Amino acid sequence: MIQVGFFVLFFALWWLESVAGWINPIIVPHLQDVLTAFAGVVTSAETLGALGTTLSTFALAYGGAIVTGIAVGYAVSSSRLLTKTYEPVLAAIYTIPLIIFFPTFLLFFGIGVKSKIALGFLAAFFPIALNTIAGFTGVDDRLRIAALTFGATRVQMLRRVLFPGAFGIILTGLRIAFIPCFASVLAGEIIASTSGLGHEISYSAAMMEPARMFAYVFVAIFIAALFNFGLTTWEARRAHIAI
Amino acid sequence: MTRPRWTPAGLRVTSIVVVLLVWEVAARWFLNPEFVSPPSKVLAAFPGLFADPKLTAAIGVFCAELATAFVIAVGLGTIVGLIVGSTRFSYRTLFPIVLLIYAIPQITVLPVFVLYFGIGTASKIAFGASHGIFPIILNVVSGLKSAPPQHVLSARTMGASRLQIVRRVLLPQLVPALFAGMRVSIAITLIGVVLAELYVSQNGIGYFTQNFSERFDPADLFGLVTILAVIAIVLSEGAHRLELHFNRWR
Repeated sequence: MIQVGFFVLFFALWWLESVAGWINPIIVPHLQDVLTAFAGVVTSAETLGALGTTLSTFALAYGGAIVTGIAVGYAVSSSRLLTKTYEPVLAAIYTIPLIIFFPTFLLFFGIGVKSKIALGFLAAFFPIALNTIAGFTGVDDRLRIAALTFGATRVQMLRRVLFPGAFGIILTGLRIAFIPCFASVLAGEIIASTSGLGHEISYSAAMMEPARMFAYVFVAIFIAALFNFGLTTWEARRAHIAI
Repeated sequence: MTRPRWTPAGLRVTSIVVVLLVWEVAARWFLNPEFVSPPSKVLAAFPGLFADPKLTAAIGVFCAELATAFVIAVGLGTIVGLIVGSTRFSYRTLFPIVLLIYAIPQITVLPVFVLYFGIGTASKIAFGASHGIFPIILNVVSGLKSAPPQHVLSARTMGASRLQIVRRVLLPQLVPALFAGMRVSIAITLIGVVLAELYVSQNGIGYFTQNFSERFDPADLFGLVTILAVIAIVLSEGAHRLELHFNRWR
């Protein structure tokens, strides 16, 4: 309710400013111009292409991180020695802001989508791998031993004991990784790219078209909000089922 | 003869050495030297990096930007946090707005910051501070909320003045929360400053990363990135120690 009121106040002030013309429209573009640009942006094929690039980059980065994160997490958690050896290493790397390494990705993978996939992948990989390790090592030892005594194979152990036991924590890892992964892809596109939503934002800024830039910023924020909303409702429903 | 048993520390060091060796061999003989440098060459590039006065100045500017952004984030964040968390009314009206703004992926508004604050240091400081301020606000608010109401009430019953309540009841709750917030804040302030530097830079580290890439000089680029990583590790480790120190009395 208050948030809606805040929105209304924000846009009312902006409209007032546009009508009165206090500030240079290069700095704060008129609300009407942004709305016109927004309508143009939303209906243009260009935006659809940019959106497609961003979302497919994100999907590749996130999907790749899920597969390798869970695989590496499983491998590391398969023995106590490996867990004790590599879990601290993964945790230590996770504390370094990975955006620092982006220039090297740019050099290595080029300015195309590959460097963004790499950045988004790393942003998602560490939380997923760390949560997978926590999930698998947290499975009750008695369950494991019981399954072993009944002669469970490796695959059966994974399917019937480890996965069900660790499922919740692994899902939490996937959720934690989601927004940083999406933000990293956008960040990569804004800093250096040739296509995508982030590219459109920084390109409009460079072309001194603030109205268009704001329109694209709103599109990006809207998508992020949509993702956030989807995640929270999904999580709420899951919590409901768990109870 | 017994088989030597691996210890976690031994295995860790061995694997790091193996990774470095594989990297060295791959970069020396198999990969394109314009894009990757072996670790030995990166190491050899360090003296050259530190000998370049422009680059050391850029690193100095980066640290100054980071420090200024952090101080602004902590100062402003504490003030906002105190305003938001001090009364029930302000909490109910303002806190949802803080959360709403926090949910926006800030990277999308980076060009807006550059538009407003220019391509110099101001935009880096502002963008860094805009990142770092949120953990401070959230932690100050939760620190104020965590003060048990019975304590406030009993202090008041025993005739404590407003100032005394703030000093003896609220502040002891606030300090550890503030330090926990600062630890998160310094890490994401760094992200904000780096993002702004990489986006546009005249003579900061962003200029040099771009310059090294355009010259296909991976040894210098890797060296500079390593220096940044070391700065990040030192800061987060220091902040962690500080937080532990201020939480010890609990």
